[in-house]
Parts: sequence; structure tokens; C-alpha cells
Amino acid sequence: MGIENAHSVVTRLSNRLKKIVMGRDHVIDLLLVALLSDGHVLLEDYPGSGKTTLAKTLGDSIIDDLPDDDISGFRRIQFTPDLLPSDVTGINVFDAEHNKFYFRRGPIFAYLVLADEINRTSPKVQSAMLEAMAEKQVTVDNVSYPLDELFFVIATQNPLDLVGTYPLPVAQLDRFLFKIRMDYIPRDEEIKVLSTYRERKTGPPADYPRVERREIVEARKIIENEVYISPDVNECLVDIARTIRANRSVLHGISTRSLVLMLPAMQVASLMKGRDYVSCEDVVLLAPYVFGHRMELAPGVDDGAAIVKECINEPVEKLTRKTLTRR
Amino acid sequence: MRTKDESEMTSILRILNTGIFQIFAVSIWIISTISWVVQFSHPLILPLIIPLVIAGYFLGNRISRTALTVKGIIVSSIMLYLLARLGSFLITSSALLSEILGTMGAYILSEAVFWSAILFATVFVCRILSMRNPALLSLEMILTSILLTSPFWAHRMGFINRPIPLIDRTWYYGIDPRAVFLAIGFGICFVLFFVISNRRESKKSVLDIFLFFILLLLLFFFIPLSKIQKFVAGTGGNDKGKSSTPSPTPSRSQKPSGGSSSPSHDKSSGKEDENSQTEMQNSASSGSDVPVAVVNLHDDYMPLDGYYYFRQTAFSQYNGIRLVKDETGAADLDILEDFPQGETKVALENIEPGESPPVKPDEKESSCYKYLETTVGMITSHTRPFGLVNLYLYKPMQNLDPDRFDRIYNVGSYVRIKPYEAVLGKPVGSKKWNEKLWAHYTEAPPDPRYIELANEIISKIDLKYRNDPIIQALAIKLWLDENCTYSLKCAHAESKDPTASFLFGDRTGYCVYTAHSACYLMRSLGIPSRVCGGYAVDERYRGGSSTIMILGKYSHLWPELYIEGLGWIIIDIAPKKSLEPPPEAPDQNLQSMMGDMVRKGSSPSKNTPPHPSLKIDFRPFLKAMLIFFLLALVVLYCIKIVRRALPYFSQVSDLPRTAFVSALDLLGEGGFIREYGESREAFADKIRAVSPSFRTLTDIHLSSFFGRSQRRDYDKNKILEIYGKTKKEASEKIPIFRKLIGFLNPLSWLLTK
Repeated sequence: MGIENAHSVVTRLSNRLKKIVMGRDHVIDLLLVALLSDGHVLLEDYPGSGKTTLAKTLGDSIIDDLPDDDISGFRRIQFTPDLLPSDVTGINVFDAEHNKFYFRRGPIFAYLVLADEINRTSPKVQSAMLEAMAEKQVTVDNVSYPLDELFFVIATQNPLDLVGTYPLPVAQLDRFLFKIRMDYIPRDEEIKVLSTYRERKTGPPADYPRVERREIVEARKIIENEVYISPDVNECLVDIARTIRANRSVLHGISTRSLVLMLPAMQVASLMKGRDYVSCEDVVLLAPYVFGHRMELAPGVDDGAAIVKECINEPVEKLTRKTLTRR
Repeated sequence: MRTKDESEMTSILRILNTGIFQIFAVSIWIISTISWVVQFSHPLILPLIIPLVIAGYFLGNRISRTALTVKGIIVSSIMLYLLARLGSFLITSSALLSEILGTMGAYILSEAVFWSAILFATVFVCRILSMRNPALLSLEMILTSILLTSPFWAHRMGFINRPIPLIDRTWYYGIDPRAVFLAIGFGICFVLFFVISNRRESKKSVLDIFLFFILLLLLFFFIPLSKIQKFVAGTGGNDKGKSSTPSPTPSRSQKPSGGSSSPSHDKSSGKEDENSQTEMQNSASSGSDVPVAVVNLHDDYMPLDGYYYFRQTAFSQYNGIRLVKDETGAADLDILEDFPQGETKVALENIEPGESPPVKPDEKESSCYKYLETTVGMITSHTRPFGLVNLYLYKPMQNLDPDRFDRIYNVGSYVRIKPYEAVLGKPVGSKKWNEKLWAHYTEAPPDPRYIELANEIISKIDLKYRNDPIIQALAIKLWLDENCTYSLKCAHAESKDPTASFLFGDRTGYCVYTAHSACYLMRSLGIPSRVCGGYAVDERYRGGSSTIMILGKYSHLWPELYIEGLGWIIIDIAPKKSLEPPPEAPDQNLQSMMGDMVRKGSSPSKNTPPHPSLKIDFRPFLKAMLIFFLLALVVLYCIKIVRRALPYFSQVSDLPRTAFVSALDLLGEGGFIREYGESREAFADKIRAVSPSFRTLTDIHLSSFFGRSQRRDYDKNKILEIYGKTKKEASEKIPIFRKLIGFLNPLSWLLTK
């Protein structure tokens, strides 16, 4: 399997999703970047903006090639204040027939988990969820159960209506590769959504092929190996981090880990553009979503992405101009 | 609109952060502080101030990024200012420090403390303000322009020797400072031109350059240099019509019905008793510190009464209100009415016209006078010549420096060398005068109070001398000296008889009133007298050189009486009480420089070629400038051409880059320039309508830069083909005028980024 196959995986997924979910091309691209770079996504949006459709379509697009592993393609968990960790992870149940406990898997055992309104639940549920995300395993009664290699979480939170919520601290937000703030879709797209409602209800037509779970996992490895990141780009990333840390609206700048997380994401983004090298464009595209939620902001400042956009200008410009120099 | 403005603002901010700009801005700050400090303080403090200015600049940059509020910064700067004031005060008042460092050392230290704190705080606050809000950058620009141009302000007042260190040096090497000023102006224009031709949108650049040239043309045609001085020159002599300085006009009410003239000598000087010379009260109002003329003495001469009098005009005809210029044509023949074409001699009482000087018409009296030649260089235009009292010979000279001098002429004068005592006992008036002339010079106002006052004054004279008219005149002078108060602010001008209002009122006024009072009092005693106008310059201002610089504020009116065999003798009134501050001496440096200029700028014959030193340094300098400019142009165009042709000559491994750069140059000429922070791909997509092939070229270039280094197997012909296609597409889409502008702009390749 070569880089062309990886590209085809991305294209197939992208085509399917864009067919069903309208007006969200940008979010779909980011979602696929996260999926293929083994990260998780936090969507910040209002109810009814199509996130379930999005997650469900993505879940549907993945063929479960291991039907015996008892891990389903897609699960949705609606987080509420009274939810318990075991409701997410699963629980040891006593089997009277065999006279022993056996582990009953929770909804987190899926390829794709939609964690709806993650800020509504108590911190202990959040932490159980986040442990799963970080370690790709759950631990119940001191026994760890591994999750699938393709474990991808799309969490959402409502930016309004914050009464009775438990906002995620920066350290937990750090588990998400992207935090994407979704806006209302453009007028024309919205009209299109209404007019194509019925045909999309049945799911994507057959000429939009699905991808196998295995393909995605392999594509991840290929992209990591094949898409080249120039040392100049790394330099630029470090410059961005330093600029952000020096910004007066930022109390606590981004970590080195976030720079490391940026690398696979950029590789996927490059591949989606049909390139086998990372370019300035990828930095500009991804930096606000990767870095925006990983900073402690000064009181009164709330738009981290805007600060990142401001801070990347200079290093990116430097890198862009560098391309004109002779090597 | 708002977002556009904001993006413009942020782009300005970005420019501010570039290294070249920082160096540029710091050096402008440094130069402007130097030009300020050398004027207002001691140059020795510069080594301390310059590092602090640099520190202020960079610290300001740094602090502007912190959360410190502007209010706090400004308050702390004000505190710093107050501290500096206190510190410098403490240093100068500390006996210990002046003991250790010496008086001069302590002074320099206090100046250094004061100015370094002020300039540091200024630069610091300015920097923070303009970093926080780019619109406030204009504040910084205005401030630096003020500092930078401050040495040249004095030029508007006629002080053409400023900044002294620069002008001194240029004169020393024999260079005309005007060439230096032109070079400075040229440099500024060049920088401005460079800045505005680099705007992001070439349309804006073209507009800017157009406006810039319009501005230059306006400056050149509507404010010609030589006119500036004439315009600002205040109350220069009899230059009444052009007098631009507002005056506490006595002229309005004192204006004679004939309206031929009215003295504008309201800014005048009151003088101390000539004999005592203990205190000088020569006062002047502000705004007339402008040199109106320069006089070079050909021989050493010290006036007896401490003042050089330059007579320009005489008022002897009483018109019912005041004295005006003679209209009969029989009196005041020693006054030249205009500038004669050739050498002219004046009818002096004791010298027959046509005789060659020095003459001795009367052996007994001639020893009272000495013949003295002077050269007068008029800076502001006057209606008639003036010369050292008594002017006898007028000889126009060729003016080789018409930008500087209105005209230059030589004057031969008979200057008095005997004191008053020598003339005592002589009869007043002249035997040659007819009845009419006698009446002309002795006609006083019919007001009986004048004769009463005159009689009262002479009643105090010793009986032995009471009938001597010269003693009577001196008594009147001394009485007026004693009883008048010199002041430029007085309300007599509005009354019907201003002189009576002055003399019989509060006796507070200036030379117009004192001179008229003295003249009327003398005339009421039958002493022929008149009021003369011109300039009176304190002898001490000459400062040992042979040059007397006449400033506008030296204009003056004084009374004169006629003595048989001697002619008109000045008896000036100098009130002992004055409400005006004592004047400052003129700039000695400027004075001697102007003297040199008169010497160089005058030529006795009309046929002599211009003095070489004035013009010779000017042209090579301009020529060198032109050559430099042309060379720079050639170099810039060469770079442009080489960059354009490079793809055809470069190696395959470097071809993607050179082709891309060349295509970027081409697009830049057409006004398609990548925005700051915009990625190459986004730019290529943006101009896809102009050149679709450019996107391919961009991809090839970027993959060569960002891709794996081993992949360098490019197809040369393919790249060149794409490059050619890009060129073709672009030149089809770019309008001709844009192409032309881009083609002609030698700096267009600098826009490529």
C-alpha cells in the first residue's frame, strides 16, 4: 500500500461525508485530518447543527472488518450530570450461571464515539473518558481493557447555556487534537440542505464507497512515513510557539507536545491537498485549531484561535520568504 | 471599511516590526535628538543621551507588548521628568559637586541628567503609544520632524548660520551651505520617494508620487527662498507697505492727511543718556529679530554717543498733527529719495556737492568730522538707501548674491568725532536758509502748552547759558530722559494730538513720541529741528569686528537740530525708566558671517565675474548626486533584468526557484503582490484568473523547497514551458498602463516576496 492508497482512503471518506453533510466541508476536512492523524476532536456548536449526522456518517463510512471483536462502528454517548464512569466504560457483571464476574463493555468500545455535551457531566466521568482517549484503554476494577486501534472521539460542547456545566480545564482540552468552533452554514448551503433532505435520508448512494477499518489504520502509518516535513517547517513551528508564548494576551503558552501533535496533522492535511510534503499552507490551516485551545488566556480574552492567527503571521511569512532564497 | 482599515493598521504594525525599519527609526530618533541637543544644550552630553534614546526606543517596543497600561506609563514618564528636573536642580545647586567637577562640569552633568531623562521618556512613551495604536505613529513622526527641523527654524528669522556646527564647517571648507541644504532636502525626498513607491498597491504608489511632486512644485514656486526673508522681515526701515509685523500703530491716527508716509518705527529703542551709558534700555518687541541689513566699516570708528545711527528718512514738515516728510522739495536735501543709478553725492551743509572727499570746507569745523566709508548689504528691501550719519556719498555696487541681498552699495559718511562740548555756543540754523525754510524747520503745534513746558525747562538752566540754543536743546533732552517712561504699550495713538497726549499725559511711550516731543519743544523755542528715522545700533553689538548687523528691532526715530557749519546733530532721547525688558545682543557668529557675505557678494565693477567660491561647489555636488542617482538606477534595472532572465541560465536544480521568482517579479509589476501572511498556494489560487499556470509553477517550486532533498530530477523543458505559459497569461491579463508602470519602476523587484 502506497501513498496513493492513503490518498484514496481520504478522498473516499471525504466524498461520502460531503455528500451527506452539506456546508461543512471545512469541518469535514479537519475531522478527517484528526481521524488519520490519530487525534480527537472537540466541536463547539449549537444543537441541531449536524454534528450527529456528521459523526454517524463517518461511522457508517467505516467498514468493520473485524466483526468478531464485539466493537461496533459508531456509538453516541449523551453526557448528563448523573452519568457514572461505568456508564461509559462498562462494568463487571456477576454471571450467576457461571458463578463469576464478566466485563460488560460500555459504549466507549467503538471505532467512533460521539461524546455529546461532554461538559455536562461530572469531572469523574470526564476523566474516565479522557483516560480512554489518551491511553486507548479502559480500566475497570484494576483490569485494563484495550480499545481498538482506530478509536476516534468526537466530543461536543454547547458554547451557550453554561449553567450546571463542568467546563473542561486546559489540561483536559489538551487531549483533543482540534477544537473546532462551528458557525451557521451559508445561506445557499442551508437551502440545499432543505431541498436534498429526503434523498440524503437514505444514506449515501452506492457510488460513494466506504473504507475498511484496516485501510484507515494502514493509511495512518503510510502518511507518517511518506509525507515529508522539512526542517524549515519545524523551525517555523517553534517560532510560532515562541511568538505565542511572548504574546501579552497569553498567560501560559502552548506546550512542546502540541507542536509534536501538529506534525501528523500537517502530514494528513498535505496529503489531502495531494502533496507529499508539508507546506506553509498546512501550518496556516491547522495552527489555530491545534493551538487555539491549549493556552491559558489573560482575563477578558477568550478567542485563542484569533491570537494564534495573529501570532503565526510573522513566522509563516518568514518561512514563505525563505522559499525564495537559494539553497 | 472598518476591517479594511484594521488590516491596513496591522500591516503597518508589521512593517514597524521589521529589522530595517527599526534601524531606520532608531537612527531618525538619534539624529533628531542630536540636532535638538546641540542647539539647546552642551554637545558633551551626547554620549550619555544617545544610548539612552536607543534604550528608550527598544524598551518602549518591549514594554508595549506587556500588559502595562498607557496611563501608568505616561504617569511614570511624568514622574521621571519631575525627578530629572529635581536632579538637575540639585546638581547645579550642590556646592560639593561643583567643587569636585568644577562649575562647568556640574553644569554639564545637570544638563546631561535633565535632557537624558526627558529624551528617554519621550522616546519611550512615543514608542509605546505608536506600538499600541499605529495611528499614534504620526505623533512620533511629527515629534521627530520637529526635533529634526528645529536647527533650521532660525532661518525663517534670518539666522542663516544655523545649525552653527554644520554651517561653520561648510564655510571653513569653502562650500556654500545652500548646497548642503539642498543635499539634505534631496536625501529626504529620496527617502520619501523610496517609501511611497513601495506601497502595496501600485495605484496608491502612483498617486502618492504624483502628490509628492505637486507638493515639491508648490514648495518651489510658492515659497521661493529669497522671498521668505523679505516677507518675515519685520519693520525694516521705511519698508512700511510690506511691514508684516503687527504694530501698536500710532500710524493709524497719526497718519497725515497727505498720507505719504507714516513711520513704522514703533518697535524702537529708548536710550540712556549718551554720556553716561551706564544702562542700556534698548528694547524691542519680539518678531523683529530679523537682520534687515549688514554694514561693513572700512575703517575703525567708535561713535561718541555709543550708537551707530543710520539715517534713512527725515520728517520735518508739520501737517497739523505730526511731522511728515517734506513736500516742498526745499528741505531735507541730505536724504536720498530713492536708489540712484550711479554714484551720487548728497548736499551736506558743510560740504559742497561735487567735491571729492575728504573735504575741508571750513578749517575750524572740519575737525569735528571724519570721512568713513562703509558697505551696506540690504537683506530686506527698502524704499531708499540709508547710511551711517551723515551720508555723503552713495555708490551702488554689483550684487553678486541676489538670493541673499536685496542690494549692496557703498556709503561715504562724515561721522562726528567731537563731543557736544565742542559745538556749544554755535548758532543754530543756517545763514543760507530763507524765511520759508526757517519757518519750515521751526513750525510747532499751536498748542500753548509746548512753549510753556519749554520755558519751564529752560528756566532751570544757569542764566549764563540760558540763551544758548544748544544748551536749551540738551536741557530738553535731559528733561525728557528724566521724565519719560519707555514702553511699547501706550494708548496715545488714538488721541487727536498723540504727542500732546504723551507729553502732557503719562509720558509713557516710545521713540515716536519722545522724538516728536523733543522736536516740538525745541521748535517752540525757535530751534530748527526735525525728526529722523532709520536704525540705531549699540556700539557694543559690533563685538570688535568691522561688521554691524542691523536687525529689524533696531529701527528708531530720533530728533535732530541744525547747527551752523555742522549740519544736523542728533540729540536722542533715552528715557531712564523703561517698562520693556533689556534686549539681547545679536548673534556674533551670524554677524561676522553676514559681513563676509557682503564682502564676497559685492563687486565694485559691473564687469567682474562672480566670485568663484559661491558657485563652484554647488554644481559638482549636484552633478555627483545626479551621477549617483543614475548609477543607482542602472544598477537597479540591471538587477531587474538579471532576475527576469535567470530561469534561462540557471541549473536544473535551481530552476524551480528562479522561474518562480521571475514569475513573481512579473506579477508584482502588474500589481499582483502576495499579502503579508498569505501562503504561496493561497496567493496562486487568488490570481488563478490571471494565470492558471502559476499555480503549477508554485507547486513545483514549493515541492522543490519543502520536499525531500533527493528529488531534484526536474524536467527543465517542462518547467520552462510552464514558466513561459505563466508569463504569457500574465501579460495578456495585466493592463498596459500597469505593465508600463511596473516596467519603469526600478524598485518593482523589491516588492517580490
